[in-house]
Amino acid sequence: MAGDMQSARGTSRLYQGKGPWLLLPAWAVIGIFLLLPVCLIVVYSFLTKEFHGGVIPEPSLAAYDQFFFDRGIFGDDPPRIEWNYIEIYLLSFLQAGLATLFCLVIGLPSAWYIATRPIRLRQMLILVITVPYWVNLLIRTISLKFLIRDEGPMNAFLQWTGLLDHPLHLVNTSYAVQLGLFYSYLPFMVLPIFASAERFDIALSEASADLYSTKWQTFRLITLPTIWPGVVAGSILVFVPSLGAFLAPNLLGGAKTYMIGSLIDEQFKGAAGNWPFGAAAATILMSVVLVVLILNARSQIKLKGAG
Amino acid sequence: MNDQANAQIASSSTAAIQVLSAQKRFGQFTALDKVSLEIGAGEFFTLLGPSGCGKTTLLRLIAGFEDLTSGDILLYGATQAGLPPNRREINTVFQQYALFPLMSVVQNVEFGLLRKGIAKVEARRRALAALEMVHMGSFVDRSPVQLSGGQQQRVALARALAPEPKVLLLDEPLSALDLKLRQKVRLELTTLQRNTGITFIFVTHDQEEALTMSDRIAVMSHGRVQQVGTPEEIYEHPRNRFVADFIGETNLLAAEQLEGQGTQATVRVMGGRPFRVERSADLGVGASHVSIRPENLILTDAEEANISGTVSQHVYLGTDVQIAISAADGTEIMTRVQSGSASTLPAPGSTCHLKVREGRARLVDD
Repeated sequence: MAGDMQSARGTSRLYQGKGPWLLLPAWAVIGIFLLLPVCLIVVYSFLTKEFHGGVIPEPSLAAYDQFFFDRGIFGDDPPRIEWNYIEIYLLSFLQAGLATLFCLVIGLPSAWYIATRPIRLRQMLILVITVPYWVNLLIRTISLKFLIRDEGPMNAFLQWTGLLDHPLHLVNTSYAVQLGLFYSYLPFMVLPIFASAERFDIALSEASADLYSTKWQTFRLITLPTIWPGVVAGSILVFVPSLGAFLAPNLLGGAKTYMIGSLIDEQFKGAAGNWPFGAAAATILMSVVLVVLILNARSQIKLKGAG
Repeated sequence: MNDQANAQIASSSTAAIQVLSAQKRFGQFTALDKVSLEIGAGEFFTLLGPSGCGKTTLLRLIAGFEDLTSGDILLYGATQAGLPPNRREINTVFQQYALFPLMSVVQNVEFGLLRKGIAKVEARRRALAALEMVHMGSFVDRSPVQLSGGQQQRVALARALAPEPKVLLLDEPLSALDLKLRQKVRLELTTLQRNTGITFIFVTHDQEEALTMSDRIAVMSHGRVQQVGTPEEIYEHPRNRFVADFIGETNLLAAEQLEGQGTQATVRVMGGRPFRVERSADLGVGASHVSIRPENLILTDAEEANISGTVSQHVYLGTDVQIAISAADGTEIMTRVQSGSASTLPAPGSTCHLKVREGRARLVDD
């Protein structure tokens, strides 16, 4: 039925040929304020560093060289692989991956629960999910830090209940960063899954149970494939910003837990910064994310083709 | 009613489904009120009633989608209470078919077979056979969303029949089809039921569907079974006002019972000449209405009249002409005559006398 309606919409002459004009403002905004800066970043990454911040318009591969190779203190040793930055990247991927996993494990059941409530309650629950977004992310992250610090209310409560006899050190650990990422991006997982779960026809679950499926088989064979596009969209929406996040690692992770976002952030700050290096780090990150997204899109298309 | 149903249940041993004082409440609302029914093996049994009468609730209770508030449901003598749908050898054809949109037609049909643990090759063979049976053999690899309503309906039927359930439940499966197709599928369904020998329980609000397809019908309203019987019994011998009114067209007229014993009674309607009517032996004392089908009222002259009134209009129906008559107290009465005799019809505004065809009126419960 939904397919019929979509194809009808696609062939309706009423709306044919009017798309480009409606899209124009959005294209202009994206072109000027997104694509242009991204191109600038890529160009900057191939220029020479100016010592007081900024760049000298002289082509150079120094930034990429610094990222991948270690040439000793004076820069004249034979090049060896520089693991420092690669390690930061791998750890960032691990952090972002874990955040995505936690958001999925917690978010999927929540989204499913909300999607199966009566319409009134559903709308209210979705509103509640978005409430934290009325407060700035910086403020929320700082509040989280106050909540979980050694003398904070969480530790006070845990000690009061007798579960702990000394405070749990969370601030300035990777666990705190993980908590921050999970907390920041959970709604980005819940909302897309909710959107696809809401359209799920409960009669399909009943048909599956009627045809001798256990609850788990129904979930695996009927429900999950139907809401899979929402799961993929949610995972991308959590994973990609987590990868480049710098508020959570900076504020909750301290000096020890360094993520890509913090690394890039620092390169554009004050005299200690290195614009080409920051731009190169950002370009490398973008390339990796792009490859992941393209691979995902291809597998999605293949899935559709097979179905 | 209950006593009679219980007596029936006790006497029969080849019941596919026994419903024993089944009750279902949703909060304050009683959807099903102590219903008892027995459905024989191999029967085409229809639950008929207006929306909200409890017929779909009863079907969902049999399938296991809802839990009984009290009472029991037996499948070949074994209680199904508390069993989830996947542990009942009962399959359902859903109203909107509920085909799995991400699977092909054949994957839909073999789904139940595979879940039952049947080996892949055998499941595919049986799925293809089931599709062949409903004439969908050439649509095996299509996606269900590419099919028309009638084709989806056939696939849904094949999917529910393939695992060879002991009972097949059909929840208004024809309501999404257009009229022409509906009449064709009706015939196919009865043929299919006879060929497979599987017990069908069919839910509908359409009396014509019920009358043409069923071995027996249970007429339901307000969560209760009003009458169970063959289509002929239901049509010719309605037990109460609801059944008489719901099945076919009828005139329900307030009647004065002059004498009554056994299955016969004499009544008078609106001060006319008394006439004999049929009644069931166990009819309640409150019985005060007669049901007379339009075709059982004959035009006659003043001396023979059981009912008289003024003709208000004629409606041409093709083979018949329907005549609407207003009685002295304002009651509307319908009668029918064959359209060939149009020239002798009483003109609108004229007085008209009606006689009840011998033995074709029935005293009904309130």
